[in-house]
Amino acid sequence: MSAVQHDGQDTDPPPGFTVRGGPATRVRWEDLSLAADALRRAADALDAADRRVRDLHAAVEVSAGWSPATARPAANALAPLLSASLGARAVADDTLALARALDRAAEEYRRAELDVGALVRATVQGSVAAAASRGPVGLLGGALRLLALGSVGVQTLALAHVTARGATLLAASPTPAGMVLRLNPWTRPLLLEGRLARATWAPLGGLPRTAVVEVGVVAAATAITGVLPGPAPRDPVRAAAGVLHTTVTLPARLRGEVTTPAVGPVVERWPVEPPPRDAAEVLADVAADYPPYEGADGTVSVRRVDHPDGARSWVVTIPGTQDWSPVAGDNPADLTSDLALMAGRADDATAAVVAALAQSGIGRDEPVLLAGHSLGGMVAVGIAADPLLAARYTFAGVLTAGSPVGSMTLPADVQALHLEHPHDDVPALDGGPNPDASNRVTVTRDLTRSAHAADRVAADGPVGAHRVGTYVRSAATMDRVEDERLEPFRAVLDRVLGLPGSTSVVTRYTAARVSPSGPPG
Amino acid sequence: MSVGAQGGWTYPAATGLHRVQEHLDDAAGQVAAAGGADWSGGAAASFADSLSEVATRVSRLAASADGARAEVLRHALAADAAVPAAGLAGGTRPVAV
Repeated sequence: MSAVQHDGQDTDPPPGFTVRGGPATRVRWEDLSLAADALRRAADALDAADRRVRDLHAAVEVSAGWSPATARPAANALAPLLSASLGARAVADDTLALARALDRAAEEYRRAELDVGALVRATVQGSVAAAASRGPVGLLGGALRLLALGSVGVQTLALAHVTARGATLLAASPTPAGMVLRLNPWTRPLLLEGRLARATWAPLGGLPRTAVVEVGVVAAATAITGVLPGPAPRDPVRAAAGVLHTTVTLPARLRGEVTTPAVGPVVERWPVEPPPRDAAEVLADVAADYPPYEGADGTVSVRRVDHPDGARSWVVTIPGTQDWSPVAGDNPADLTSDLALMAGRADDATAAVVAALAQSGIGRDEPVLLAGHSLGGMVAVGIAADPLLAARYTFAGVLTAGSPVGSMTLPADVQALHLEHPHDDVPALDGGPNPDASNRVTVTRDLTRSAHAADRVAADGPVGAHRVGTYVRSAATMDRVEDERLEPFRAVLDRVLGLPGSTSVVTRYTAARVSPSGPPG
Repeated sequence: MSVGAQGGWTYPAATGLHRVQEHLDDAAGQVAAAGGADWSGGAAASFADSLSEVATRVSRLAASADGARAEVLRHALAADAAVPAAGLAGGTRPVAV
């Protein structure tokens, strides 16, 4: 387990965090504005009372010479009304502060209700879907109609920006294509220095970044699926992922190469140590699973937590994509699994975690927390949502960081926290926001408002914003966010991570794709 | 408590005390009205706690004002009694406006 640096110097609520979903909150923001107005009137009345009391007190002092014996008790009787901490002016000040806080709350609710991003998504996605439903020819006609409506501009610009961001990610990836883009004197400044991404973002500035990426993803998915015959799919992102998955796996299937994920042997069993204390330390465990840290390629960890009362719980940590090659290799944590998961198909990354669970000896009633970064988060949600697995294990919670899980379902008895960065494109690859279910909370952190210089630097590009280390820092800061919608998930963390005195043992499992006819390659 | 040249201390004191009570009653009513928002959830509970605290403090102010009434009026009456017609006689009585 890696130690996480918690920022303990600043006790104020950290800026830049937005919480969505969770237990239902009912509010009419107009009511809050009216309540704030009433409090302002109350403050005015208290101010008026204060002025009257000061007049009375002054008059008592002026007239004290005529009756000193009664002046002192009269002044003393007025003193509580003039107290700096309890008097009318102090209460007026606090009432006004409450009114202002209420104004801010009303404004937040109003903005949420008028979410520009939602408007953009609803307009553009709806238009795209309507156009695509008529096939490629219809798409062209629809595009002309959209042009008339003005929204195709957003779609096209968003597609261009998403393409630029995708190319930037590819250039930074440890792939042959990435190496070519990095070495090319033309593409290097355009991509690695972010010029293309900035240029394509400029005309979109002012729109919510995540919404733009989601729109761009839907547009790209529509373009991919639009060339296929037949009616347009209801979920173009899922369908496009299926097309891509079929494409990247086709050569191997044509050659008759069939692989299955094999897990083991156990590469490492860590000695007894305290379990993680919070979400940040759980994500630090996820980070540790990545090679070249404490995990090898295809490593996942299962941590058994032994509570002082004899109870047991489990934390499963799942790292993200480690192999970006379009050709499936040994490591199941790869692009092929990404595409399969997004297409709703069986994938080897999930199979590897399921095999690790089976070898761990998890009891039927022992609560399990699944935590994953990027691809790992998708795997975590997929496992928690699998009814066959839910019959064997008690999945209490899911923690995802930078994962596109908006289109994935989750049972109502599993509490989920989805941590996302607006500057990270990966969570937007599902083409829409996460559902605002009562058991699913999405915490978004604007890295540009972080006190950590490393976070502000990370906000400058999609690579840094997606790094697991950036998410670990965000989770550490998130622990200072006070929001009742986070409480159900925090209760799950408390239940799984245990009280002080709990101990834990980590077992790391390494998975590799193997041919049924031979050992892992 | 403002005192006119023709008045004593008692009337403006009584008026001032009455105004204080009116303002505090108004404040209490407005605070109560602020509690009528259709709002549920943890933040709403926190707001309700804060509002309840403000209401309690306003209520205490009203009680303090009520308690001060007798002492202030007693003093005003005593001051008026100490200077019978002084203001009308020679203007030696302090006058506040």
